[in-house]
Amino acid sequence: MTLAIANTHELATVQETSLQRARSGDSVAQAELYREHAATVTRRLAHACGDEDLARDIAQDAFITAFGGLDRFAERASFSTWLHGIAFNHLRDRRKRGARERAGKARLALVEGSVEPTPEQRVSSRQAMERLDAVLATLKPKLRDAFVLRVVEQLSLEESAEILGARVATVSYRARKAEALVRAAFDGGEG
Amino acid sequence: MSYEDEIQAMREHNVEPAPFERLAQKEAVTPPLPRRRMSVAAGATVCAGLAFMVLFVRPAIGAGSLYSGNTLKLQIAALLPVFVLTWALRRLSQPRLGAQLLSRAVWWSSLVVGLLVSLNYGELPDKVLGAIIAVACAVALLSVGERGLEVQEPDSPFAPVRFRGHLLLALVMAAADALTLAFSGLLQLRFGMEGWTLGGTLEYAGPTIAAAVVMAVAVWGVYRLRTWALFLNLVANITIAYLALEGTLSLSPSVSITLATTAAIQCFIPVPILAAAAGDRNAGQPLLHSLRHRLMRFTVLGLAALSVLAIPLPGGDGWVNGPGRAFVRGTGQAARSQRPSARQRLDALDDDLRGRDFDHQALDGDFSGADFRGASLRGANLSVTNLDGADLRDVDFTRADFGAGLVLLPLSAKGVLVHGTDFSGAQIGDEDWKQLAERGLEGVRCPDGVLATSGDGCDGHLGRVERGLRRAFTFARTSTHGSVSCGREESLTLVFEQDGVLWHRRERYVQLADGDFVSPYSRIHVSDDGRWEVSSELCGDNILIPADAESAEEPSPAQ
Repeated sequence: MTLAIANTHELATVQETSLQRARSGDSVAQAELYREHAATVTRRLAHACGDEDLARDIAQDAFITAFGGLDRFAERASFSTWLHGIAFNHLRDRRKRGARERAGKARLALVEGSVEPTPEQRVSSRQAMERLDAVLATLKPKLRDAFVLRVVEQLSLEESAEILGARVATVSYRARKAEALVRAAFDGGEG
Repeated sequence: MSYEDEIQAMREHNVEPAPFERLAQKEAVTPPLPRRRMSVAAGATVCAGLAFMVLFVRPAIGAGSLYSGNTLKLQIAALLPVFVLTWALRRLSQPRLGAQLLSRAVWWSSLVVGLLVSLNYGELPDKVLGAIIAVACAVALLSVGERGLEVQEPDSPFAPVRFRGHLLLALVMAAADALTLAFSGLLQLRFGMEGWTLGGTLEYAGPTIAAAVVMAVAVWGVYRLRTWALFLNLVANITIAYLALEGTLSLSPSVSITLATTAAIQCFIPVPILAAAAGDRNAGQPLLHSLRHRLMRFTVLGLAALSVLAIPLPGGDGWVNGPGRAFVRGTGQAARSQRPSARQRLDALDDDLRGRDFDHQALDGDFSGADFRGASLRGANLSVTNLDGADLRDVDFTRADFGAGLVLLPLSAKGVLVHGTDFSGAQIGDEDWKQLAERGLEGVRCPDGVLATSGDGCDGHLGRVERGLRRAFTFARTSTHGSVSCGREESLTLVFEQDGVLWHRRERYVQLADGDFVSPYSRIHVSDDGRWEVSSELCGDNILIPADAESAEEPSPAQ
């Protein structure tokens, strides 16, 4: 959006970014940011969790959190990286909660069922990458996240580390280990 | 497909994001809270936090020292409410269920703490501060009501399909109890850190802190709707009620009764939920909303009003019991005419002060019936103390000052038990000694350090000096201790005897069996070559050089 500001001597134009306007609560600017980043965030989350519905839900939570905390966004990293960091934090929270619920602890019968589908349901929704999804489902979440960001999405080590909140060396190690495991699974399957 | 092909397929696979409008709908699930009511609650929270802060700094500005007759030693414990109220203030406007629940718990807990302070502490400023805290928290609770608790968060683990009201009530009450218990535990820890071993401190404060932790775990579990957490909550409440009333928590009767009452109420909350979980489909009708709302308002208003009405009432029974009671309890409001002008009183009737360290402290007040067994009162000043009926067995009174020679300051010690008590170097007048010896002196170490005989007791062993003993001397060197000057500059000074007591300026000495003279602050040893050596914890060692005794005039001890 371009704002025209006139005074007696000059006419200056100020390029106000969507981000700056979104900070002041402008819903149009928030919609612009959403349209710009939602598809990428949702896709990466879907790869990381293997469930597109869950990915959409987490992406929405990430945007709500991000829009609510834009004042805290210091612009040390790009908005996209910051947003992805929030999204993967939400994903980790969901995984923890899901793991607790699946741990077989007695949970009150009064509670609505978990929204998280079983791994089998997740796999069936993504027939196109059936084999890769099945292999990824066997990986530990940290390895899977690193694999998705580094190998599938081809992000830089620095950006992946920023998103995952881990050190560069750690992410590099996880991505290499995950890739080796996935390749081994493919090779084993073919053999 | 090969590995590379599937990776490429995954890269090209697009996932349609949810439309932006659904984002707005999701946000709308958590509606914003009314701004005006939030402002009132925020103001009240700030007010309560400031009042706690004043309670925290009051001892630091001179109102909280045992030496000056402490009335309230919340100190570090008062920082806990300050911290949680600050947290509540920050989270108040967040339409998150967890934040709203814990804010209620913080206000409820602070309301109860404020009420108990106004009920139980003797000094007017403390009572007023307690009432301010209680009223402020009541205002906060009434202004927000149940707004914010209706939030249905899609990602919250708290998503019950039934008994939401029961569970919310259980959560708020349990969290408030956990905070109140943590406050009490900190109070006990604060006491224990002054002169106790770690084991003794943990034994004293441990049960209360453990109860707070168990309640916090129960809150954590109930929020996640775990069945075990409801059972834990039930068992913890029954146990806390029992321990509070039985005395294991070492809390004063009023605090114990308050905790037991809230625990008893909480015991009934999860019963219908557990019955339903066990299969009883008809268990538990939902709490009537309007009735619950009215009951809450009535309770909050009642407690706040009680805290205000308690201001003019005399002090209650303090916060804790057991060995720490004299330390943190209120003193009660003595009639103005009875109050000593410079020295305030510290009362501890019938208190359990076993093993307590009162070294070099002024115990002015009523300690009748107190149990001092094994306590250390080395160098303590007991000149205006009532010890009637106190148990002084195995107490170390080494160099304690019972006000010998100052007949205007009465010590009352009728019927005390003194077995194994050490009075070495203690300053005791004849009349006071008669009282202390009333029930026998078996096993007592007399003021001169000799064990009392079964026949004569301490007759001849009160550390008196021969009449006429007088010595003039100069100090060999000036002595200082840190920035404190001992005032013993190189000058002529005089030790003299009056009425059987040895004096140096205003210091009185008792002669021990080995010939040394001791006062609460120093010890004089007369060496074989006639030199007098004085050693003092405060000023180090000094050599006294004898001067011409005849040239010095005898000063009055009152100078």
